[in-house]
Amino acid sequence: MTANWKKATAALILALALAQPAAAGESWRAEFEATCSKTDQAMTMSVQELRDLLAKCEALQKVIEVQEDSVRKVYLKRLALCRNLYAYMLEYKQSDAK
Amino acid sequence: MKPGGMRIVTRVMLTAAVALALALALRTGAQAMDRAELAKVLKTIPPNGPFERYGNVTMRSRAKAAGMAPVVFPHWVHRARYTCRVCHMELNFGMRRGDSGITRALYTSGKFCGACHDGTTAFTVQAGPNQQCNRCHMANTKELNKRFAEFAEGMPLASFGNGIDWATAYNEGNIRPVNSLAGQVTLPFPEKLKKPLKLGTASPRSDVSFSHQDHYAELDCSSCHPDVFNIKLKSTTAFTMETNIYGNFCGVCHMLVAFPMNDCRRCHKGMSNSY
Repeated sequence: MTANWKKATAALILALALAQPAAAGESWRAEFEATCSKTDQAMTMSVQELRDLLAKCEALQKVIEVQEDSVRKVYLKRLALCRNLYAYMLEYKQSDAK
Repeated sequence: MKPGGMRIVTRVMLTAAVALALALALRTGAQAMDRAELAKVLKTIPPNGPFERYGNVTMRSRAKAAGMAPVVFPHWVHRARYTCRVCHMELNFGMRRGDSGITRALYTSGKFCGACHDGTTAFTVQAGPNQQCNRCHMANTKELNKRFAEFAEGMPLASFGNGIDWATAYNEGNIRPVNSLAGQVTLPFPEKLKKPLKLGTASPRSDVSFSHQDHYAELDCSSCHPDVFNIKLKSTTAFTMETNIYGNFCGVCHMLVAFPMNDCRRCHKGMSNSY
């Protein structure tokens, strides 16, 4: 329960921070790079770490969806690639744990 | 020999003869089927085309709308300097034509091509006295083909793709591609993937040894997993030579830019390139 609250709060803070266009319109890119640069570690991550990354991907998706056409197209594709990998690894670890 | 003994020997010999004939028939039949199947597969592989054109991407639609000649992007010149991840991950170029939505406004502002084509790292995309629009917008590729011939001179030969053995070129130092715009960076490679992956096939001679490490040197895990290879065993039922040739699995890259599948032996070490 506590972990869920923490996750929800983190996601909310991130979404709010990212939704501030004035607060440096490019801040989400740094968040994107930080989130999607961990794909090579996905195999060794815990279930919770993967869930946190997926939550970040969800938040990022909302921000990217309101960007201009070219940026949206490019980054949604790249986000989908890393999000899908994290989702797959999470599914794999969860089924492995059963 | 006892009469019964003779019968037993005869029966054993007859059984052995029948078994041997059956084995030979099956073996011959299987071989014939193998070769026919292989021939069928090989015939579906598109021809390699001229060496200088392999991996070139022609982009017409936006250029045409702007009244310009189409853009011809040669992978060969770029791959000699940078690994795939530089453009496809750091610079966000899509893997399919038209995926990136590149406009003149974007590259002249330093995005996509403009990240390097700034007059310093590479020729500029800006208008002005030094403009070289025709380096990308080409009515024909004569000049580009000439540059390819100069570039390929002295490179290790291959029978397919660009006619250049890129792996040997890298190993022998003919090319030194960097893996980041920041130069060469260390990318931690998962230990458990260092051992080549053996992909069994219907015949041992066509088994494939797949190196994660070689691919990771160029790309990222998420480039292939799970979208191209979803890693689940059930997905391997669709993993055939035909599906590859039609642009799935390995065929996503290995028919367009990475060495083409006409070169059987690059993956199937025990096979020949003829049938």
